[in-house]
Amino acid sequence: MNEANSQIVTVAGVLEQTVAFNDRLFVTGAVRLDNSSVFGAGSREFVYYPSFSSSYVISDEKWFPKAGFIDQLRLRGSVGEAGNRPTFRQSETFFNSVSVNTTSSDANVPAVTIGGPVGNALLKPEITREVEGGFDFNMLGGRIDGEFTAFQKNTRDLLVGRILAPSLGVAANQNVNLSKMTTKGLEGTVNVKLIDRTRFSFAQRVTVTTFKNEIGTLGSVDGQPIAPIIFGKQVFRAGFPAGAYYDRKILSYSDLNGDGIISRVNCPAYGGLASPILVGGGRCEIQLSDSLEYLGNPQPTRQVSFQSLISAFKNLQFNVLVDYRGGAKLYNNTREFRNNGGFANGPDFWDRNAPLSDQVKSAARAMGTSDGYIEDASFVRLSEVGMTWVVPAAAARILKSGGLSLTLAARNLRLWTDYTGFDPEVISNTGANFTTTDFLTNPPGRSYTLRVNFNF
Amino acid sequence: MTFSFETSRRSVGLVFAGLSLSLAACDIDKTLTVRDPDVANPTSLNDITVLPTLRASAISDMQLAWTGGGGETGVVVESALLGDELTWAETFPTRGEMDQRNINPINGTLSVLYNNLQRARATADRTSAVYYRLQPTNPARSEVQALAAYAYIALGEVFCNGVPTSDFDVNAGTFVLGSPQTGVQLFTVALAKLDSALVNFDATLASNAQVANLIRVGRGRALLNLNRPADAAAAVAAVPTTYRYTFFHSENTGRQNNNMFLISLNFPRHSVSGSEGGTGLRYRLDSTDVRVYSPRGRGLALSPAVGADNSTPMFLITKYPSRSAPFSFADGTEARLIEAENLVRTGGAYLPVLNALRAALPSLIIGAPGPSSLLINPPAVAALPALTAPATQADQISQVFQERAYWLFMTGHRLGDMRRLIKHIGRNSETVFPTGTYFKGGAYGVDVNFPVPFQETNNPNFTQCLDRNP
Repeated sequence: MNEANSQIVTVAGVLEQTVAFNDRLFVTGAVRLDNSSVFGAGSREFVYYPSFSSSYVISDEKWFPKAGFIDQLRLRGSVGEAGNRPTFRQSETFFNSVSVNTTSSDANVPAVTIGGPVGNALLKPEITREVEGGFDFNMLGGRIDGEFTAFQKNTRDLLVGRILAPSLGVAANQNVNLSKMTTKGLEGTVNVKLIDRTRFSFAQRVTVTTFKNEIGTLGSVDGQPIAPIIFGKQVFRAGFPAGAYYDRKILSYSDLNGDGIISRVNCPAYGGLASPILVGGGRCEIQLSDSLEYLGNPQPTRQVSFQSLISAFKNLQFNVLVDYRGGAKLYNNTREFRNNGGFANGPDFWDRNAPLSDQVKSAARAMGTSDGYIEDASFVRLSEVGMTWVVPAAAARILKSGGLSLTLAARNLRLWTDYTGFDPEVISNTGANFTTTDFLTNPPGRSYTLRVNFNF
Repeated sequence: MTFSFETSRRSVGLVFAGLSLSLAACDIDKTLTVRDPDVANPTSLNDITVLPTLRASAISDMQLAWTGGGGETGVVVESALLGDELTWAETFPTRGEMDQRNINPINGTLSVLYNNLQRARATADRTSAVYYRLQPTNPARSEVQALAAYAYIALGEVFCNGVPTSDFDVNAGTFVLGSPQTGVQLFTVALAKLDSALVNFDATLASNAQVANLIRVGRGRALLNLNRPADAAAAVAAVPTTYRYTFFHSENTGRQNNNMFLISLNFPRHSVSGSEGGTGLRYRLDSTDVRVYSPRGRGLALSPAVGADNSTPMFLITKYPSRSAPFSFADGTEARLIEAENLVRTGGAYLPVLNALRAALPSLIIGAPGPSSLLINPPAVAALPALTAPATQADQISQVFQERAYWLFMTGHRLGDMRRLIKHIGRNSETVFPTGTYFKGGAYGVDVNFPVPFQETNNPNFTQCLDRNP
């Protein structure tokens, strides 16, 4: 039997005002204020989140050039702040109750042990100020429409569970407000009706997104500058993406003794160990960087989607969706786990006929770096192919239905990628401090769906 | 030009007025104060009534760090893997790295071992500080001081040179991050704590003997690690041979379970070694010695025949036959063995000390091997035959260290002893630690201690081990 109590109290208020001018220019201003029991006791005061947005249908102005091919053009812009509050018990140090037996009588007495994370009385919400601007358009009699947006988010007091030095003898981490993270990007969507006839139409939608984030200075806690925060193979470090992969880099490798194996035997010790086996004789077949280096961004920086929509004979519709993601790396911990010598069942570790480029991954791992298993996670995926048949009304009526349609859809049909795990979109620890790893997790499946929609 | 407002000026005024009145009417601080009945906060652990709870907490954290339990690892089991007491019989590679003497600082099991030991140290130090403020002469203050000292000793015995110890003020929420310390520095700090503990209460009272002897054995252990065997022998001279400071395990919660039972009889993770790597002691091969009696499992519940890897033969730890089997943390046997070591290293008559222990085995051993219903003809809990002295002093020293290993089997002493054989006695590391071809493929590495886990690099004063020397 167990019990868990969680209580969060928030006091908040919102004020919003919208003004319209001639149904062309719309302006909205708002302010929200928040205070919460989950803020640290030393920072429990109201936080204000102002916002302002406007849109302007500039093409409705009389003076706007009537070029003929632009039907509507709307300009948009906004600036505003939003907050992300800490969660229950993140700001307070606490102890959990445990039992211990201190006598031979098997009598259990109450005791406590420090819980986690370690509290932070100065913990406050992270605040993101987003500025975005863009436009929506419709042209050539509705045959082409689209939108374009540029945005920049400046997050201050970013909430991150920093890893504490275990020598403190407390919980493993503490939530802190890091100084700043900047995220910026562009997003554009264009829909084109390439063929638009009564019995046949073909439309193509393309969406392109670019995305980049970067940690600013890390700030300080209690006057002490926060050192780069290390989460296994990933770090929060000023000047790099949040959760950047960071490890010693494999600079080169070569089968110097011609035995067909890449081996760390004869390599200098990495990690401070003066090892008689590792340093004895010969030249090292693997060259690693002396220090940790940036190995990649855990988040994709480029995304493109292509969606084709085809209609035929008024009652047949086809759609095809292809997605691309690029710019991200993913830690293939599953493959590393299977090739670390523990089970000896991965060919990187035991197969002397394995490519040298694979052998070096396992050998370098034994030297303390996972560089070989932090892989390019770019991919192109045939995400969906679908067909819908709208049954003629007369046929539907036979079944006493007011409308009837059949949809056959197949999802996740094909993947093109250099990633060697099951799927580059597998993330075993979603949402934890931007950390990403693929470890013994099922990939998304391929699915086939037949759906019948009818109404009476 | 037309304007339209989605809210009126009047409504704006009403909202402001309402909001202002609402905020003024309530006490925001009171409103935002929530009760959390599931946990204790630091301010509730600061008065004299909770001192027994704090003492129990220090014991609990130390027990978890030392013997493990509830899925957590501990000093005893992991040091036995790196040393020559246990062999890896399962599939978790983090423990395999330890058995193979090739440990990566990112090893997750290593991290748990280090975290729990540092936590036990910090809890004991923190508890000692509260006693110092509220009841400075209470023997319990000296007891928790001693427990903190044992944590320092363990950090020095099993980890590389370079372990920092840091402080967290739970009331102020502030950190003081430590710098790397050598093993000698850690043992010196431990000795200072034990010296302090011994003078903070009346150690001459019979009612305080339990704590006083814990301190004395700890001083002997620290002094041996500082290569001062004569001082160590003097430190433990007053400890009765039958003395024992026990960690009492329990079926009550997973955290209180005896982890050595869990990883052997309950679930076959590690098998008792026999001449591991050609250099290890015989342990399971000495089937007539009740101290290390480790029969092959019979393929039954609580008697697994092969490890969790489904291949490694399981030789079982019978010293801890149940979840509630007690554990001897410090005892009079160790005191006598410290004296014997001093004697053998100075050419003295060490053998009578060893043989007196062997003759008194029934009164010294922590219990009969078990579970009794599954064991076929286990050795009797009876006096062991007397030893005879080998011809050379080197062999005599080996004999004393083997007796230490057997008496203190699976108690967290052996890895420290193996390191002392190298750095104090002058043995080559590859004649002490398992070496050569590893039974699951590859070769043994060269580690003689655990590296500090990579998480410690979040301490800006720490980069890596100062060295990996014994």
